[in-house]
Amino acid sequence: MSYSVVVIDDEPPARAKLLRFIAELPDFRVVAEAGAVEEGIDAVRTTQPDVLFLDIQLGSHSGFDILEALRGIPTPLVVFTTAYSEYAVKAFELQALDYLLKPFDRDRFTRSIERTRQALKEPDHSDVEERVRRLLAQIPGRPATAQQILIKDTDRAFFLMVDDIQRVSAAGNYVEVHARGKVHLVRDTLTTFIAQLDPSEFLRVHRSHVVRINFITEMRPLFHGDYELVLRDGQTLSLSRRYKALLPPAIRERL
Amino acid sequence: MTTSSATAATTSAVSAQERRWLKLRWILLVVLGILFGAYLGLNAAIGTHGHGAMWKPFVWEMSSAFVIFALIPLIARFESRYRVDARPRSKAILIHVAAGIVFSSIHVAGIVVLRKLAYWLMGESYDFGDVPTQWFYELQKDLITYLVILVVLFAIRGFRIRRAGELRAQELAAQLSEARLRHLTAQIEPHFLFNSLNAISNRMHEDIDAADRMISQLGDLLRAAYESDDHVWVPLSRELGWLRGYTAMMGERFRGQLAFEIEADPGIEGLQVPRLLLQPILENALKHGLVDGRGWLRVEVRRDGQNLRYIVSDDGVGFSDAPLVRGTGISNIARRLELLFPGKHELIFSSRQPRGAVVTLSFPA
Repeated sequence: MSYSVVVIDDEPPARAKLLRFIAELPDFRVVAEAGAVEEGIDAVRTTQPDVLFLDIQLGSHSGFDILEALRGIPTPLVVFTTAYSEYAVKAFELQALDYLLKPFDRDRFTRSIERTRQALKEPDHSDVEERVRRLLAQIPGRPATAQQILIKDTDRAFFLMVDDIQRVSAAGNYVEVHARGKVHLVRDTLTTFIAQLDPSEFLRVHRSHVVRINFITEMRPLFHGDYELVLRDGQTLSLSRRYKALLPPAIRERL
Repeated sequence: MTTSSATAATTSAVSAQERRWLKLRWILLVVLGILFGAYLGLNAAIGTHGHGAMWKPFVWEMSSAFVIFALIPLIARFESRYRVDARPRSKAILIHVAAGIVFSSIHVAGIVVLRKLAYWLMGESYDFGDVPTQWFYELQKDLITYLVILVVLFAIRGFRIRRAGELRAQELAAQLSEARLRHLTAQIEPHFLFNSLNAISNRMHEDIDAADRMISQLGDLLRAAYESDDHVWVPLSRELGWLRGYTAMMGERFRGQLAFEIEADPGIEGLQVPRLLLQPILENALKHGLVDGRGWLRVEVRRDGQNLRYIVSDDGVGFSDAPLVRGTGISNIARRLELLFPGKHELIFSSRQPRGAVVTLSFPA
């Protein structure tokens, strides 16, 4: 069993270098490479890789355009590669996402691969998805989030004001949208649905739960460093350690 | 297709404003003439020691200065048409001797009319005296006055030309240093530098000699960027040397995707050309034309009679898809060309069929 990798970079020597390093690893194999945005999106869609090495500057476009287009499909673990991009590097550090600064040597590549291996062993990557979602929200020039969302209930379709949404939870092939005390069932995945929401207003607290920040009233410690969140409507949700680390410091201190 | 050259519209707009200014200057001159005449009159009046009416010297001197000063703008206009320093010299002298005589005739006629008017107002009558004698007396004085006016006009023109030349030289220096800064930042631009290093670090594993070449090319580019001399002119070979290094590095970074071709007519590499004219055009093409880092770019340098012609063509998106992009780099070259070769250069942007762009630049060399 080996992990599949897609490499996206507009400069052929940069791809060649990654390909050579990856070829030396027994547990990784490159399934596709791409040099432009459209090609890259196609490559990830068709191969569904475990890991994506993604260059930030792709000619006049950006690697973030690719992530934007891939929103909603299971995101591979992303290792960003960049020659120089101050704002992007800051955002990676803030979200604790993996990145390689070009030019890199074998040591740095190996360290990055070690971290990737660890992350791949985790059964659930939804926290990484959440990090990427927040990263995209921080990058300047990204599209604004929705004000209202079209909901198709069993017998009717209507627009739900995003301001009314209190929490969203996964339920099999559906998501439950809790708004003003009512629950609407929408046929969608949680990842796709929350792509429409502003990460600074909605927090993913669990692989299956996303909550409006103002809707949380209390955080109670449980065993093993896990926590329990108490919501305004009295319901509780569990908050795992990995997700607690994702909470913005201001929220962590307030609760 | 757009050409960068001065347009007629701007020239006429300037002259409308200038005409207003000329009128104002004329009034100013006349007032100055009257004041000067009053000063001379005062001197003459004191010189009479109380013999005769005190107002008469004022009338004589003020009428004379008034006519002379009022004529100065006409003399200036006449002189700008028939320059005192024109060749052949004998013709210029003849023209201005004749003009001096005309000037004197107008002056004499003017003062006689003005004095008769002033005397009549004072209840007296003015007598010019024996006309040939008086006219000859005035003529020799008027010719000297006319000569003084010519000398002053000539000096003012010389001063203006020198001043304009200094301003042009100053602006040229400023534009060039801006171009140099741009040139420097383009090569030390972090993306260029780090991506080049990354390409070298890959090439090493494939071909040590090729990697070596890349390092020395990068070294040349950095050295050129750090150069601190501020010569306006460099041999064409140096412009092309920089270009070859830059395109070699870009060609390596986009190997198999981006092809460069540089062609110069034989025997012209020693010609002196304005520094850093090609670089902004090339960068513009790479940034806005070959957006995906794919395609080809060709630079041709041609001798065309008295002119040198740069032709930069590519098969990128061209100017039709995107609005004509004239970044600051391009406006900088346009301005420098205008300063170096006013009205004698050409900078043309056009699209190629079926795709791509051509930038043609020509100037005397």
